[in-house]
Amino acid sequence: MFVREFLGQRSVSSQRRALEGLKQSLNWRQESRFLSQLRRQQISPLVFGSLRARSATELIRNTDTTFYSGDPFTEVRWLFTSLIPFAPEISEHIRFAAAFSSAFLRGDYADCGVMLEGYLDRFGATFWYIEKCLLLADQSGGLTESLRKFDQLVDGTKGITWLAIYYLSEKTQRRNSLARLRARVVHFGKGGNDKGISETGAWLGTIVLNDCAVPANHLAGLGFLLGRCAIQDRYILATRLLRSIFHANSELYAEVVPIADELNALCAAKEDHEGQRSDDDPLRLNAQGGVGIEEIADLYSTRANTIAVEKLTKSIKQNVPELKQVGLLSRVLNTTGLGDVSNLDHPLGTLVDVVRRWETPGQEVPDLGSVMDRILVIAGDSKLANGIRSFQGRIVRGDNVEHGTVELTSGGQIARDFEAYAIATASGEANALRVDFRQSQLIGFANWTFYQSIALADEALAESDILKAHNYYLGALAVSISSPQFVSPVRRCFRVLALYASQDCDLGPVLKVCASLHSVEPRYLDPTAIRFLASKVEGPRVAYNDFCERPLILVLAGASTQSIHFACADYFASQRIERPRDLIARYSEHLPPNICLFLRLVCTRDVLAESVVFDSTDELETERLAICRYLREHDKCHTSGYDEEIKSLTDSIAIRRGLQQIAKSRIYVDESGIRKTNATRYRDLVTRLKDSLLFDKVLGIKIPSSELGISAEDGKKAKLVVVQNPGFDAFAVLFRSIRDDFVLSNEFGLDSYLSVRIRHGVLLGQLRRPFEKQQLITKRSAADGYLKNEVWRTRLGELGPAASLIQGPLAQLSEMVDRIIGELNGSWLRVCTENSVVDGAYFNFNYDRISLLSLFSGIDPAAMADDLLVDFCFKELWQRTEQSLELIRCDLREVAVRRFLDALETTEHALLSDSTSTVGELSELLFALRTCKTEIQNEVAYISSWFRPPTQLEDGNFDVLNSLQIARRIIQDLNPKLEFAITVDVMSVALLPNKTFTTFVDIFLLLFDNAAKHSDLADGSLRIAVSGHCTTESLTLEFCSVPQAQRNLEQDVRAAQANWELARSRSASETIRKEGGSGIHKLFNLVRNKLNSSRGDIGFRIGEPRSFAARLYVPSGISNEGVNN
Amino acid sequence: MKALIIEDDRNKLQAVGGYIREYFDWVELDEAYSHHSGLKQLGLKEFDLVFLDMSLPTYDISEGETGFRFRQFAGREILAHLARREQKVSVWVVTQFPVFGEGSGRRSLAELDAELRRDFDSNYRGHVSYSASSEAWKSEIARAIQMARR
Repeated sequence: MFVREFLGQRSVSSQRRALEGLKQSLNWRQESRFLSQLRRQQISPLVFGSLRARSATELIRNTDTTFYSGDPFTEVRWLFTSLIPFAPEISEHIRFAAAFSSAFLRGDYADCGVMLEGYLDRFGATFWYIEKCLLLADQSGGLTESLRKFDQLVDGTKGITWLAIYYLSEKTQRRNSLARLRARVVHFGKGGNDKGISETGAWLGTIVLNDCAVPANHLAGLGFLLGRCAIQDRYILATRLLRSIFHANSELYAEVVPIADELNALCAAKEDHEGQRSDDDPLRLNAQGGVGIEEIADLYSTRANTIAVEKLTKSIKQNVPELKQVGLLSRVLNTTGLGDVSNLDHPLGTLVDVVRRWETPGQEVPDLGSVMDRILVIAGDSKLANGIRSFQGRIVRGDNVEHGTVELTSGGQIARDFEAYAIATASGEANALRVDFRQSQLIGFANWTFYQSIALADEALAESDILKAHNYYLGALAVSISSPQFVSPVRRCFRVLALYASQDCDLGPVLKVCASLHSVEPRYLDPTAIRFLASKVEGPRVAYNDFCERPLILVLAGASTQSIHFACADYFASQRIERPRDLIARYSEHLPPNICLFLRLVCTRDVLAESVVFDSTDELETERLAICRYLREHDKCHTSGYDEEIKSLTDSIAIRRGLQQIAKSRIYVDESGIRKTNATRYRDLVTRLKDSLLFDKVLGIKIPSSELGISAEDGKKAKLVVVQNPGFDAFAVLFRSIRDDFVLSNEFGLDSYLSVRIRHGVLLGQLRRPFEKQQLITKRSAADGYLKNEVWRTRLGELGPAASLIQGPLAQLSEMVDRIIGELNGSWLRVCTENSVVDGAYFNFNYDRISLLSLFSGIDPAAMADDLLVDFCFKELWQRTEQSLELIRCDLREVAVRRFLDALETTEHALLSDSTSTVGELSELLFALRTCKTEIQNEVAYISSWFRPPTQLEDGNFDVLNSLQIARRIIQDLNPKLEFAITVDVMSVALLPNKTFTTFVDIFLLLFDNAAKHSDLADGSLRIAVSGHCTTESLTLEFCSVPQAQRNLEQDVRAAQANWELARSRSASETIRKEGGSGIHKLFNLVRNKLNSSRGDIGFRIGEPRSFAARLYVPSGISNEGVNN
Repeated sequence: MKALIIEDDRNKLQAVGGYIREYFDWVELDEAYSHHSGLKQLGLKEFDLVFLDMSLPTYDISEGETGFRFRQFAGREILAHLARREQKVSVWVVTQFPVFGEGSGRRSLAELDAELRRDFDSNYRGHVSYSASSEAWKSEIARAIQMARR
C-alpha cells in the first residue's frame, strides 16, 4: 500500500531516478550493512529505498547474460515481489507515516521531530524519512534540530550538498525543484541568528549559483544571506559564497560588489574567526573602491604562495575583467586556505554554463577542452595550458554526437590528463592553485555533471532515443573518470553502453572511455560488459584498427593471446610501425595515458611473443625491457610493478646469456694457465731439445713403410729418414709433457673441464631430462633392477592388467637410456693417451712414436724460436681436439640420437605388441613416448653444440649472484624436483671476468649436486637453501639442504645457518668422499686454484637426519684475482 | 610446385622431406623448424602446399635459444594467421600423435581435425598420420601432393 502510494505520486522515470539519487546519498558501507541485514530478513527493504536499486545492481552483476533492462516497470515489479516477505515492517512503517501526518496536520512540529527520530531508530534514513525531514524543515522555519537531521545522512560537510544533488537529479519537475530550492535558500537566509541555518543557507546558495546558474535578479536573497553570514562572523563562508558567484557567472561580479560593500559595512569592526583582519580584506577594499587589483595582489603577496602570486600577478596584468576576477579568486583561495574545503568550489564556473547549454538542444556548445584551456591561461599556468592544448589537439572528435558529448568526453580526458600532470609535477614546492584546481575539477564538476548526465540519459532512454542516451552516458562516464566515488553507477552505465553497442553505435568513444576508466579505477569496468564489447571488436577486418584501446579491451576481456596480438598488429599497421619501441619514439616526452596503458597491458612479453618481428627470446625480452624502462620513467603510478618486471627480465636475459657463455666454454683448456704455470719447465725442455740437436747423428734405423702407414711404393719415394737420436727424444719429451698438461692437468686441462662441465652429472641430467619430463624412466633400485614406474601405473590404473604390463617395457627403456648415457659418459667423452687407453674414447691424444716422428719430420727445431716450438705443440693439440669434437658432434647427432630413438621405438613396439591393451588405452603413454622422441633429438642437438672449440669470450656483465642463478637454472633444468631458497646479502658485488664467472658456476653446480646426493631424497624432492653475504672483502656462502616441511624462506635460511654451526665436522669431507662421486677433490681444486685464492676454503657437514651443509669462503679480490688469471 | 614443411622433429623432417625430395623432385621443398620461422617463410613466399606439425616451439631451437614457449597447437595458430592474411594454401597437418593438449584443452586428432575443417575450411585439407615404424604415411603425403598439383 505504502509503496504504491509512494511510487504512485511520481512518474515512472522519476521513481527510478529518485531511488538512484537516494542511493547515491548514502555511503556504501552503510548500504552494505543494510543489505546484509536484509538478506537475513532482519529489516525491511523500506529501511533503505536504495536497497532496491542496489539489489537490482547485484542482480544484474550476477547475471552475466542480462543487462540492465532499462525498463523501470520491470524494476518496480521486482521491488513489489521483494517486499512481500516484509509485510509486518511495511505495516509498521505505515503506522509511523500516519502518526507523522497526524502531528504535521496539527502543526505540532516538535512531535513530528520526535516521530522522525523514532522512525530513524527503527528504519534508518529512508527516502520517506528524507522527504519528511525536508517537509518539516520547510514548515518549521528552518529549525536547527530539523536541519541536523539532514546532516545525519552523510558526513557533516556533504550532507546538504548531497541532498541538493538529489534534488537536482530529480529532473521530471526540474523547474519546480529549482524553484523550491531557491525558495529554500531565501527561507534559510531568514533563519535568524542561527549559525547553522546561515551556513546551510550559504551552502545551498552556493549550490544554486554553481549548478543552476541563477540569474542576477535572484541575488537579493543571497545578499541577505551574506549579511547573515557576516553577522555570524562567518566571513570565510561569505567569501566562499562570493567566490562561487564569480565562478557561476562572471557577469554577477558587478552585482556582488555592492553586496560585498554591505557585507563590509556589517563587519566593519570585526575580525573573522580565522584571525584575518578585516582591514586587509581585498574584497572589502576593492568594494570600497580605494584599492586596485594590483595593490590587492601586493597586499596578499606577504602571505601567499610565491608561485601562485606570480601567476596571479601575471594574469592580472592582462587586464581583462574576467582574468582579474579569476586571478583575484585564486588569490583568495590560496590565501585563505579554502582550497581544502573546495568540494563545491571550482574555478570551472564557465563549465557550468557550457553544460547548461549542452543540456539545451540547439545551443551551440563550446568545447570543454578549450574552456579548460582558457581557465588555465587565466590561472597563469601557460605551461600547463600548452600541455593541455597539445593533448587536446590529439583528441579524436566524433561527428555523431548530438549535443557535444565528445567535447565532454574530451573534457573528462583532459581532466584525467591534468590530474596525472599535477601529480607528476607537484613535487617539493606545493602549488596550491594547481592542486586546488585539480580538487575542484574532481569533485565539483564531476558530481554535478555525472548526475545530470545520468538523468538526461535515463530520459533519453525512456524516450527510446538510443543515440542520445548513449551520448549522455558517455558524458557521465567521462566526468566520472575524475572521481572514484561512482563505481557502481559507472559500472551500470558501462553495461548500458555495452548494450548500446549492440545497436551499432559508434564504439570508438566507448573504447576510449574504457581505457580511461581502467587507468583510474579498474573496478569501473564491468566484466560482462567488457566481454560484450570485446566480442564486438574482435576478429578480422573490424573497424577501430587504429584504436590502441581495441587490443586493450581484448586484454581486459581475457581474450586469447593470439586475438590480442592480431588487434595489436592491426594497430601497429595503422600507425605504420612494427614494434612498441617505434611507438615509444613518438612519445619521447609526453606519454598519453591510453598509450601508456597499451604499453603496460598489451605489449607484454606473451603478446609480443606472437609477433614475427622478433626472432629470438633475447630480442623479445630486450623489447619488453625497453618498454618497462620507458614506462618506469613516465608512469610513476606503477613504478614498483615495472621495477619487478625489469628485474625479472634482466635476470632472465643475464641467465640466458650466462648459459650461452657456459655452453661455449664447456670444452675448454686453459692454455694461458698452462703456459704460465709451466713456463720454466717448457723453457728447459726446449733448451734440452736444442742442445740435443747439436749431437744429432743419424743412427740409421729405418722403420718399414708399412709401419708408417705408407704404401711400399710411396715409401720408396718418401725416403723417410727415421732418426733415433737425442734431438727426437727431447722433442718427444717436450711434446708429451705439453700434451699431458693440455689434456690431463687437474687445474687447466681438457679432461678436468670435461669432467666438471660435462661428465659430472651434467650430461646425464641433460639426456635424462626429456625422458624424466614425460616420466618414462625410473632409477635403478638397490636390488638389481629398476624402480616401478608408479606415475604411469597410477595414470593407467583403470586399465587393470594392462597397467602392470607396461612396467616391463618401461624398465627396459630406463635400462637402455642409462646404458646409452653410460657409454657416452664412460667411453665417448673420455680422453685417451698411449698410457691410458679407453675403448671408444673420442678424445684420442695417443701420440705414439710414429705419430711423433711424423710431426718431428715436419719441423726444423733448430731453426725455430723457443716459443714457436711450444706454439707448434699447442697448435697440434688443438687440431687434434677439433678433429675429436667434429667427430663427437657428428656421432651424437647421428649415432646417439638413433640409439635413443631406437630405444623409444622398441618400447613402443613392446607396449603395442601386448595383446591385452589397445592403442586407445595406451594413447597417453604413446603420446609421451612420441613427444620424447622430438625432445631427445632437440636435447642431443643442443648438447652437440657444446662440442665446439672454445671461443674467446668477452667478459660479460656477470656477478656472483648471476653465477648462482645460472647454476640454479642449470641444476633445476636437470632436476626439476630441486627447489631453492636463496638469500644472499649483497653489499657490493663486483662484476666477474668471464673465467672467474664460469668457475663460480662450476663450483655452485658441484655444491648443488652434492646437496642433492647427500641429502634425504625419500620423497623425491629437495630444497636447497643458500644464504650468505658478498662484499668487496669476501664472499661467504652457506649451502644447506633443508627438510621439505620447512617451506618458509626465513626458516630455510635459519636452518641453513644452524646446520652450518653444527657443521664443523672435519670428518664430513671424508664421509662425502667415501660416498663417492661428489667431486670433492674438484671443488677444492676450483676454490684454491681457479680462484687463485690460497686462503679460500670449503667445508662440509652431513647431519642427521640426512642433510647436507657446505660453507664456501673466498677472501677479497675475487674480481682482481680473476683478472690476473 | 612450392611446398613448405614446418617441423621441429629433425628425424621426422628428414623422413618426410627425404621422401618428398626423392619421389617428387619437381616439388621445391623449403623447411622451417618453429612457429615463427614457419610464419616468416609463409609471409615471404607463396607456397602451394604446407606440411605442418601441430606442436612447435615459438622460435628455432639453437645454441642459447630454448625456443621460448612450446605451443601445443602451433599448427592451429599458423592456420589462424593464414586465415587472417587471407592467404590461400593447401595445408596438411602431419602428426604422430593421437591426442593433443592437456587438461580441459585436450583434444583427440579426430576432434581437432573436425575443428580445423570447420574454422579453416579454405586452407585446411586434412591430416597425415606419421609413424616412424610404418610407411603408410608416404601414400598420404603423395596424395596431398597430387591434390595440390591439381
